[in-house]
Amino acid sequence: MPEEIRRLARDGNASQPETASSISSGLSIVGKIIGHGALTIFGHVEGEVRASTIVIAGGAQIEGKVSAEELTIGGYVKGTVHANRVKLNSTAVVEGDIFHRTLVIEGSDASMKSARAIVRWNRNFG
Amino acid sequence: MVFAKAKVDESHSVQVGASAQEAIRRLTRDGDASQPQEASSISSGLSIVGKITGHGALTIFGHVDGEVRASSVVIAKGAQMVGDIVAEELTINGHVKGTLHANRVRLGGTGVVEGDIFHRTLAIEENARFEGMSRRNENAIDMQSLAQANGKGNGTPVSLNPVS
Repeated sequence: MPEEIRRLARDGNASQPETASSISSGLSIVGKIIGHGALTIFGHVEGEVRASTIVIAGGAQIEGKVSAEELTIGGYVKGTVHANRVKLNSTAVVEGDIFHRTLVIEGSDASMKSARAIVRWNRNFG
Repeated sequence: MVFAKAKVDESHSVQVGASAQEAIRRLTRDGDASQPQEASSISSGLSIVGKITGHGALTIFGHVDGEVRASSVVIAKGAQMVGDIVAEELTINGHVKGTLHANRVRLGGTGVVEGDIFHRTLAIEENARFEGMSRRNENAIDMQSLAQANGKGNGTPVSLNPVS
């Protein structure tokens, strides 16, 4: 996914609209990000984030509510998380509630420790 | 990897053409996926209400309501933007309502600007629409906008050329 996004970003001068968005590590957004399609965040976001597929990459920092159908977290999230499918990578740190249908927490004991999160399974999600 | 990179660089310097560009693009695509990249893009399906600040390249295909600061900004065709833009290099092919500050400004044929442009160089293509005032400035990204970027933004603002 990041490779695809990087290729799209490089070819970004092309006139056709893209379906994948990415926020680089050099960028900060204070405000609301709402839409559909795929979104990969390497940078900082302070505010609500809503999209179909969200990847919060390692090193990324989000403060705010995150809602997605499919959500992969490798970075830091402070806020409530709502997603049908949630995957926490070994580098993920979540401070907040996770509402999900399926939840995958990747890795060893060490990664379990870093992926500290309050997890609530919700049968009726979505 | 290092060897491949050196090869590409060499071919790029020998013949700067489509093939070399393609090679560089391929190299970038095959590059280390874990390394964060400097280019950002906001797709047509996305809306952002708020402030976007930082460095690197930013391409907007979607909707942005708020201030944008980055090194290189492209407002692509179909994009809608309301707010001020501060950039070193700015290309507009979409619709922008706001004041633009950039060293190099290029209004593409599909670009629409409602607002003033402060620039060092300005290019307007045929069929572009521009309603507003344009003013040339040796430092279009002036100290005032720098102070604003430092004061309000998080982290490093756009990289600026030294005041001459």
